[in-house]
Amino acid sequence: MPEDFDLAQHGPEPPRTESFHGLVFGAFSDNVEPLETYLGPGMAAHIRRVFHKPVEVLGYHHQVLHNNWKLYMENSRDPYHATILHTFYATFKLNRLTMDGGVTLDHDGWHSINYSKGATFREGGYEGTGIRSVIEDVGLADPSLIERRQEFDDGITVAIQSIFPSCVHQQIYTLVLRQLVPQGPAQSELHWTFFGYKDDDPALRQMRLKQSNLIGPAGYVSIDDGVIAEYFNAALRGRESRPAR
Amino acid sequence: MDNEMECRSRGMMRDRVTGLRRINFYEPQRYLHQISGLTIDPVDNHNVKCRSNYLVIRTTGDGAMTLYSAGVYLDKIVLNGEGAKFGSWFPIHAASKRCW
Repeated sequence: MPEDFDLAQHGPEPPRTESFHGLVFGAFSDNVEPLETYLGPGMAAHIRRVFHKPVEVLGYHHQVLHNNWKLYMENSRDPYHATILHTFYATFKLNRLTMDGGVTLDHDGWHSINYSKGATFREGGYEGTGIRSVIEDVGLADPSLIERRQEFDDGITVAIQSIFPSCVHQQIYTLVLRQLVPQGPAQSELHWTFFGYKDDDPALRQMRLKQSNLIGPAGYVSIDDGVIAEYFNAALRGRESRPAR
Repeated sequence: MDNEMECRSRGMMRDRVTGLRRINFYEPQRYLHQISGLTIDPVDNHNVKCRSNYLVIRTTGDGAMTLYSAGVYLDKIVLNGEGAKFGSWFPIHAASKRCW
């Protein structure tokens, strides 16, 4: 390094950061629009809805995914994947196919929210329809795993918000922010931040912790998300992939 | 709860096993678990402290082997007259990753 090299003149590019209801977003682009415009009205409203009172971090999980980051992000946007991939719901008889739900898109489809409303479930909607993978003799030995409370006045009990490029925000029993960090063409790392509200009562707090067993890296439901993207990645590269079931 | 599962009942353990055997999708895998460097430190007539190193190697369906986890076990063994039982079993994974 020459004598006249001035470290202060050669620092890393500072990201532009902006925070919205406590969530900090960063970008290296000068051209990208202001955060709230970038998010769009539907996404902004959903963040405002969840971060309407002080939150508290409950813990972190980290998960290495052996797949290209885009496969994971596409999976989280696919509203059909839950009932097809996540056999946990069908096997433990938790599918609620007759619920009202929908998809909100913003920024020309860059961002999305898939949501459903648990209380609108109607019995008898899908018996005898031949839906696969219902194993008759299986029920949850500890059903407290799926206790829930109606936390929001709009009736939405499950919402997955995917914000382009690499952020997923989940309200499925638990409250979580997921950030996906690409680590090369065929590997990425998923960072899960579990949170609750500061005013959670002890029972609700316990419920949130317990339900990281449903939607967490080793969750009954989301364990499939990690491996399915890995199978896709293997198939794209031509390797035989064999589901273990 | 950093990188831990939150299991609170025997029922949750059963559900976890049912999940692995009959429900969840995952890559075929086998684990080789090695324990070394065991030290045994008697505390009194009924209690023993043990420390050992562990290494877990994962082999996936395509034959790839990776170092899955390595660390230390800190155990308390209780001798109750009928035999030796674990009073506590405390694995410490060598890499702690909390936030990036």
